Amino acid sequence: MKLFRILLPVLLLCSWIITSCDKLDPPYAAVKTQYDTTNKPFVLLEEYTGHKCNNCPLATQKAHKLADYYAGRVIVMEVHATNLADPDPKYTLDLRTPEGAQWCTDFSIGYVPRALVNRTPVGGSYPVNSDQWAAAIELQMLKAVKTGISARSTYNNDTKEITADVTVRFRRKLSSSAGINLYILEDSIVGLQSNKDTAAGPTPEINPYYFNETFRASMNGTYGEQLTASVDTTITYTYTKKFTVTNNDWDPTQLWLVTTITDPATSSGEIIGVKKVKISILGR
Amino acid sequence: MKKASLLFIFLSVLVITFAQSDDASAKRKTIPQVNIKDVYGNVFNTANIENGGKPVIIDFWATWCTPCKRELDAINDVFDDWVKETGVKLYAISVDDPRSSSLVKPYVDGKGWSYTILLDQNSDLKRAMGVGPIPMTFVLNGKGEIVWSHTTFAQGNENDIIEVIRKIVKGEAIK
Amino acid sequence: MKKIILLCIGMAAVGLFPARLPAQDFLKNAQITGSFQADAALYQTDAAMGINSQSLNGQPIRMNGFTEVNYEYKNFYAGMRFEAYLPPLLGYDAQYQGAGVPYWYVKYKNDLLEITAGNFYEQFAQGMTFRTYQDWTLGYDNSMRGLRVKFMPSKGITITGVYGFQRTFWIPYQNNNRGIVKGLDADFNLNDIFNALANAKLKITLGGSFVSDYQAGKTMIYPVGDKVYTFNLPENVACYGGRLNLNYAGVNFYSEYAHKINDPSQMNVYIYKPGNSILFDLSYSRKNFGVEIKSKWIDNFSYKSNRSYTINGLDINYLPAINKEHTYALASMYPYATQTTGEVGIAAGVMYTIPKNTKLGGKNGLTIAVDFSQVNSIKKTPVNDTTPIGQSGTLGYATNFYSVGNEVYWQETQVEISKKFGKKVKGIFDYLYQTYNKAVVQGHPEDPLIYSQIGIADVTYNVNKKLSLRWELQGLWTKQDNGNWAAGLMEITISPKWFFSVSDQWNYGNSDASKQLHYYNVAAGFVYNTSRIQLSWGRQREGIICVGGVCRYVPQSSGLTLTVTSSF
Repeated sequence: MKLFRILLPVLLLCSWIITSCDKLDPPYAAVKTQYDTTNKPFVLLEEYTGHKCNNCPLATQKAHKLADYYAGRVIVMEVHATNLADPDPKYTLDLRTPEGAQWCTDFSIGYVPRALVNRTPVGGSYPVNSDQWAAAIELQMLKAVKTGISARSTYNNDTKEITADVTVRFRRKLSSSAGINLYILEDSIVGLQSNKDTAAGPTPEINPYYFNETFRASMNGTYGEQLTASVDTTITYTYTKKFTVTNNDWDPTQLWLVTTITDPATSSGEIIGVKKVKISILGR
Repeated sequence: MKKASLLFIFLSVLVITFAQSDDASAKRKTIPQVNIKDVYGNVFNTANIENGGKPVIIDFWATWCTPCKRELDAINDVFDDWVKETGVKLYAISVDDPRSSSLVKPYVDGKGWSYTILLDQNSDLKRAMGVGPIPMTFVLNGKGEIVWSHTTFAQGNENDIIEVIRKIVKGEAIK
Repeated sequence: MKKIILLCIGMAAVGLFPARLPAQDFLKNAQITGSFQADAALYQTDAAMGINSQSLNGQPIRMNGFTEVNYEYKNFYAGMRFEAYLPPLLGYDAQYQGAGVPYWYVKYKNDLLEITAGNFYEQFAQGMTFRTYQDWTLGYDNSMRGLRVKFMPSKGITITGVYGFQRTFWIPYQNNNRGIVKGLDADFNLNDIFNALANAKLKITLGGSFVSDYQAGKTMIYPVGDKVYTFNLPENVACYGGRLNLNYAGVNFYSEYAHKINDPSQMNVYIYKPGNSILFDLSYSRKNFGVEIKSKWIDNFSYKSNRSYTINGLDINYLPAINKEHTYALASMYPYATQTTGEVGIAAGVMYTIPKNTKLGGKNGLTIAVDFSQVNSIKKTPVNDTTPIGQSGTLGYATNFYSVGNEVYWQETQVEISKKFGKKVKGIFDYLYQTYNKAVVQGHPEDPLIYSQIGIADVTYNVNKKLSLRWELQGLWTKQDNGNWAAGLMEITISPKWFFSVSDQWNYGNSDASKQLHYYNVAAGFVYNTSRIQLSWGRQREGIICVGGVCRYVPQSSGLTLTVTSSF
């Protein structure tokens, strides 16, 4: 009897142990092939980074790999923020922006490298660690395509003015209004980057390092403007904005415009559409 | 945010009121029942903290806590006299976590302390007794009731402890 | 949130008005304990330190605070802790911003059974497989929320079962954003169980534990090199271990071993090798003499309930550093933290008190302690010719049991002498030699090994029964990192209520003259029974605070801080 009393829990325990133990066999990994983009939305991967962050180059590399794999459906934007983006006598570049600092606080970025994926929370929080980017992107890819965006943007060499003309059509009705954000990105900014992963480049720093897709400014405020107060799927909405470049460090030949459409009904203004176009140069 | 601040202030006031209330008629607190360990790894129920009707000192300390060690050193210098005079027993409860708990016994022996040592590795008793920063010292009367407690250690505090114990032995009231 | 506030008010009502309500026994004969702490800071800008309003994020006033209340009535226990970070002090994770009740529980306990619902802290053996704990100074809390049952069928046997999820900041548990942790532990004291051993001189305790963590998701997409892969993931990661303690006269031997199945995570950069950890600890002590030697081998043993976490949090197990913890400012300048990806360490210490009235001991005796510790890498070899060590999506590496690698992570030798000079003067004198691998511990591969020598003198002078003075003089000499440091402190204590201190740390050896700063501090404190209030003003140097295996980075700051603690 006593034996039975001991044996029963032991048996129960054994069965629990066996079911609580997922021992895997190799191969643990399989190569992913071509991605089918049919009916897949565009997704913004907004990476927070800093030139003094030695984990960041590898993460940025991963972001680009994912952008390649998703065949253009993933648009990468690099936001330089947190104290690891602060300039000092060695790391002289200052790629910080007031918008980036604000987003950092509002989305509790905390540390870098982390990213926001369409500004949509994943498992209760917004920032996503680099190993989970693909998982977060997959969640967005399951969603229906909600918008169709076309954009045109020019830079006037004489007036130093960027003009953006955007037209948006909605494929789904939204419950309320829709917001629009125009971000200016710059490629190929040359600088110094701290690095600790040989897979991403030389250590302890990469010199020269090319900062691509660097968020430079928002053309219409930290959280954009309202595109329309109510959404009608039959109407084509147009939006035009001008922005004067005051920072002489910007290279006009390397500028891009990223347009995002947001759903203000969600507390964070989740992104429901993204478009990236080159800013072409007018005049000389 | 504002609500939370208000709530915090409300709770703080509440707590301070508690901390300062010295209602003599109120029931004296006793030691909560918590299972901790002795230095041999045996389970020790804190209900068994007693001294045959004589006073007990409970001292929360750790091997990494310099003022705690200073306090136990200071008491050690006069402890033999205390025991002869009052029969007091001291439970030194180490809150060392697994990093340093194995060091406790060699340390105590190396120091030549003659206290009863208990290990509260995960601060279970510490939490149950509302102990904040250590060192924190409690004095229990013969009935196991907490009659005196004090946080931090300053040279000379040991004199306050023995004063309280003498009063207990003489049966005087402690405010 | 509403519920929480109601709960608070309810708890408060129970505590506040016990006498005014009808004489209900569960109010009158209940016991309430608790504690309170508030740390508030008013940060200043400091040009010399490079602190401007932007680095303070426009929020110079910050506060961390908590109140914990425990209620006890017969076999019934309940409690909660309210925490507020408005906003969190510098150096604490910004994710703490906010306030609420992260910890509450109800518990029933008798001699046979203990059942806890809500949050709880628990530790299996030395924590190698499971430990949840809270450390306020560290800003760490990985408490479980769920259910715990402790069963003590007979003397000498304790069985513990836990089931729940862990706390991380204020992030609510939803959509499988962290694992569900289940654990079982059995602890046996053979001397209590078997009558024949009851009076044996040899005391034997042994035990075993099994823990499993469930995280949803069988696959994930992960780029490695120039390809993108699908990784298969284990949804249930098990970790199990056993331990044995033998005690005979003054000799104590303890050993614990634990094994973890494949657990790819960001901490090990997604390798599939199982993990192992083993600890040996042997000590001997008698009156005035103690000696301890221990060794630990850790191989791929980070165990978190969120595989994506690399920050402090959601640790299921506890792997403390093997070296001694220091409290003197300069001795803890370079704190070591366990490298969960692999390390092997040894630590040994001897302590001897030379008795009073001997030739060496003098009139008042003398205590001498010598400690040594060293931690190295473990030897990792590639699993095959084509796979580099640590490659994601593979086993990662191979290693032999207790292999020792060539890379030194940490080494320390310490000699400490404590001596009384007459009745009024006491001194503690330390010499330390440390080797610190900043590159590995802090993740900056460019940094060289730091070799430092540290000397400390700590002298207390008891002027009279009430007044005592204490001086600390410290020096740290190194050719690497920030160079030499000197530190001094003077403390005046007026027992039992007041204390004052003035201190300074001076980085006089910094190769950059503009960084040869003084980190001065003035503090005053007042103690009343179980309450304490302290006000200090000055500069805080950048550093790392480590408790156990967890470290927190503290940025440099300048300003006024107020700390209030109270127990009841």
